[in-house]
Amino acid sequence: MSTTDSEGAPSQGAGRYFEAAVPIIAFGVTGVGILFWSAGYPVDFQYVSIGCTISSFILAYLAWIRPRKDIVALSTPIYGIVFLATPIEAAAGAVLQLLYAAGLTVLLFRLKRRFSAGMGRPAALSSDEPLGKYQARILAEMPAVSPALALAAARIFIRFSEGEYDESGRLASTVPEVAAGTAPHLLAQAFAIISFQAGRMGEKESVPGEYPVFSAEEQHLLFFPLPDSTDKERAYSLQLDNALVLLYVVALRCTETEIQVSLDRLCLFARRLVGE
Amino acid sequence: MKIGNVDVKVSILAIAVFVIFTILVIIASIYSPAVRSHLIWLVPVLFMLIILPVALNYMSQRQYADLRPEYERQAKTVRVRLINESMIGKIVRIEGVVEHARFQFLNRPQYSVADRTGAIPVKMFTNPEEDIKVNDIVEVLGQVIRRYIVTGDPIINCVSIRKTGKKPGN
Repeated sequence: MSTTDSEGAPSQGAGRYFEAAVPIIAFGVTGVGILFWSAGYPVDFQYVSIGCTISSFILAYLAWIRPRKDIVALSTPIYGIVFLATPIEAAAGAVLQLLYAAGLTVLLFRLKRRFSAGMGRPAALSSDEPLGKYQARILAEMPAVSPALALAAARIFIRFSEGEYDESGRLASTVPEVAAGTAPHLLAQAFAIISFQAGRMGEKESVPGEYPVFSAEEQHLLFFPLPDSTDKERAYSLQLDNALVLLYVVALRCTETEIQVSLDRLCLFARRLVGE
Repeated sequence: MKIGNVDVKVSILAIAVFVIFTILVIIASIYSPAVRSHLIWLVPVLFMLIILPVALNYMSQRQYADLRPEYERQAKTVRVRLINESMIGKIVRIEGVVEHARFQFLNRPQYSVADRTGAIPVKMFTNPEEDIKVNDIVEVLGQVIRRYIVTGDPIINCVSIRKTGKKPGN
């Protein structure tokens, strides 16, 4: 029986029971001890701390089986053993153990949140969402995008998202496939738009008289239809938005693991770009 | 109140705390002779309740004034929609309209600034250089941070917010 999911995070099966056991055992045993003590039974809180000790070992186990180790959670059994080995007066013991149980619970949430690979990672594009539909459309239209071009698109998109506009513009202007004329025209135009607009990004926004644009024949392949109004600023920024969205869906074809992880993280940004 | 070149503002909350405790001390010293004997340290402590916020505000204003030229130099003008998690720590400049302004009375104003591409929360940890109201067109200089420091969506930790105009029709 596996206690971990494919990412190594114990979020399914027995893993869930272990996670629930941490606060339940820690608070439960201490709570029972307090109940007996308030009912007048002689309770030695040194041994009541066994609940916290067991919980701390479970927490340490949960931390151990994760791909990323949390040293704080891993070291909690040390304190659990200290509690078990040290005689303590009832009131102080009860308070200390309740605080420790609360601490273990906080550490469990921290472990789940910060030390689970894939946690907080946005889901891959679904075919139901607008960006997923657009990706399918582009895949059908440009089935032969080379891995090198996808990699170039990914690097440009990542640098742009990081606010490294100069670097992104420089990369977009030096794509070898574009220079060799082997890149699809739509993509070459997207690189040209990003190269131009990223280079101007540091300046106070103003719309230049002339700038690279997608041609009217390619409009059906763009995410946003281009406005035919006289709103120059909107028309200018939509060219960039279309170019970025196009680069993102092309970049998703990149097979390098490191790039894929970065693109996964940028899924939220891409969704934001398309107004989701 | 101006100290040197720094315009110091005390939040209404600090003033309220000072007034409440002053009233409490006055009432207590009227009715209790025991309290009167402690006035020698109660009065300075009361004044500390107002002096400390003034001093803190003065220091933060000085620090922000020192930061502004550096931010002016480093900031990149961006559209709101382009701000994302990958830009955490980046110094940016945005221009937009103030849609909401909250907590100004605490000297910890929080604005929502929108341009044509979207809106973003702008937090400031001291009072701004000028009085900013809803519908003002502003230029914001600040650093992209997470809403709750280690988690949350990107927001702007504002170092400078200046009025550049007023939204037409207001």
